[in-house]
Amino acid sequence: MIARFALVILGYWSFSSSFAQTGYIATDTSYISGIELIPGPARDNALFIKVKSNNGETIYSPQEIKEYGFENGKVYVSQEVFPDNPGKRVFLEKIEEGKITLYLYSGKKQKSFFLKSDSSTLIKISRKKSEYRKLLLEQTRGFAWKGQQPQLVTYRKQSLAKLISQYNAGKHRPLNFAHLGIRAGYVMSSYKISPKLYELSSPVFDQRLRDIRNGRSSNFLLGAFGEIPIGKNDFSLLIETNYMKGGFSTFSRTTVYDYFIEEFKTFDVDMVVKLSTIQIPLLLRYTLPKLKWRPFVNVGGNFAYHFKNSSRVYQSDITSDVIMMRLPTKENHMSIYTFAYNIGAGLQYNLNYRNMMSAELRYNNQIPTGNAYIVDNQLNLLINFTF
Amino acid sequence: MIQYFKNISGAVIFASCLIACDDLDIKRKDYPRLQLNEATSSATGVALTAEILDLGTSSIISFGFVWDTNTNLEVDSSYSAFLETDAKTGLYNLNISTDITNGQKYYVAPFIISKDYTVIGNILSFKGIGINETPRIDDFFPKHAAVGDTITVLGGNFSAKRSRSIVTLGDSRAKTILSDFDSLMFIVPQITDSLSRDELKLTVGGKTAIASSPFKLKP
Repeated sequence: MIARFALVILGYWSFSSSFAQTGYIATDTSYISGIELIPGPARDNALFIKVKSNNGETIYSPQEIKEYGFENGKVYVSQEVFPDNPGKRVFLEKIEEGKITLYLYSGKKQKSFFLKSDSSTLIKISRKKSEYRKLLLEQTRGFAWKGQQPQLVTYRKQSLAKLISQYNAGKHRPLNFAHLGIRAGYVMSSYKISPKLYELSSPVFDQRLRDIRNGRSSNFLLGAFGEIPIGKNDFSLLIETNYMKGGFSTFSRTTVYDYFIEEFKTFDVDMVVKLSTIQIPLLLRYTLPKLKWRPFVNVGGNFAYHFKNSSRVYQSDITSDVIMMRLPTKENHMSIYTFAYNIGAGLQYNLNYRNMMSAELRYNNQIPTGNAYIVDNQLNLLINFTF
Repeated sequence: MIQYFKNISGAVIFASCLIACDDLDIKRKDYPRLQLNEATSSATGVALTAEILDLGTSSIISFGFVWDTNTNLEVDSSYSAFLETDAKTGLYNLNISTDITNGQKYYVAPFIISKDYTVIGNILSFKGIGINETPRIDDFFPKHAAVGDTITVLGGNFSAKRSRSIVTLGDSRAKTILSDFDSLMFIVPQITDSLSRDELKLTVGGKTAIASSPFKLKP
């Protein structure tokens, strides 16, 4: 099923890639728009562009045209980028345009970035972290970066584009970057016990668990997470893992009529559920692009595995002043695996350009499944530290 | 500032670990809770281990084990042994080394008597490996009593079930009101056999001991 789905997606991508798009080409002396360009893979687009014509296709090289572009705004310009091979030109994709223009060359083996300011020639951006950050600082001197964004920029299209766009627009926005963090949290759990629980087994079980009601507990949580920015915007993907040791204890006193002995019987029932849980939430986060205090919201799913899932039921039969205690029985009424959806909101404080502290309130609502007779809903108060 | 937050994070993580390690338990009741963990029969006796899980809110009077050949266990009428230490949560043990019939199936449970309740723990069973030592009377008092008076007998290998510790004065059987492994109490009966009125006998499981001191009946 998954393979078939992948094939459909791949087929669609291939089809759409080879499908002509309206665009233009320009030379030193001419500009032809409204023509149909056939884009190829990024590597091909750097070497030539196919134009649909009456006779079929015409291929233009960087030696023949100085620029081409698509209706969607993607523009390629012809440039000489090989100092040791003067005269050889390639098409560079224009990523950002302004006081500084950022270009991308999709070469055979790797991608390279170039930048050009109004007053300079085309400069290749080194792949070395220390060098490209130094270069970007030099090229953007005069602009007081309030968030030390050049220290966070990575050699990736979206990261560089976002930095250059901020410089061109003269705006101070946080530069999202991939990072790791740890967390501690306080979890308030509400365990909702399905009335179907006491209908599960024999009539004895029916009576015993009849009045068992919802349980509550408070536990602590420890976790770690990774946050990966998505695109140039302020969305990010959070992949987390949390450990929690908890569970709940709930009690009921029930009086029933025993038809065998024709008497009323009273018994106390305690259900104690002990859980050790690994949660793996996957969340989409939007963080407001502020420099210091950054509110955020997130939404996503949570897979939980109760690697310790022990439930005991204690019963005491009460007749006037004599109480007979029964041996506790082991019964697992919670699913080992659970799924939940998460929604949360919080506030992040940027301690410096790299470290952040945040507090978050998150609601975790378990999705009841066929065999889940105890459903766990949680309200989490999380304190996160990012490094 | 970073150091400050790191310190806070460290403290929160440490506290989380400590608190998360706490075990859940059932809610406290007004009655105590206990359970029998083990009942093992061997040639030297029956080893019993029980655990007081919670003392409850009602004050404890006594505790021990109760056993019999059926599941209808009652502290007064079944075999019962009271422990003489203070009741506290945790394990307690007893070894039964007398009056166990070979091949007989017994049911045993721990018990606690509190001010308001008698709590019998869960029941386990064991098979008796015949332990039937002859009872031994070390002493009894008072040695001079009237009909209806209570006599205390000290010794060993008594039955823990009062109906199994049979006391006779002459040919008259006395009512045993309390019987433990090494002591019992009985009420002096009407004595009809004038020839053997001095003789105090105790029979447990068919084996009999006779007190070395004579018993004198008050007129």
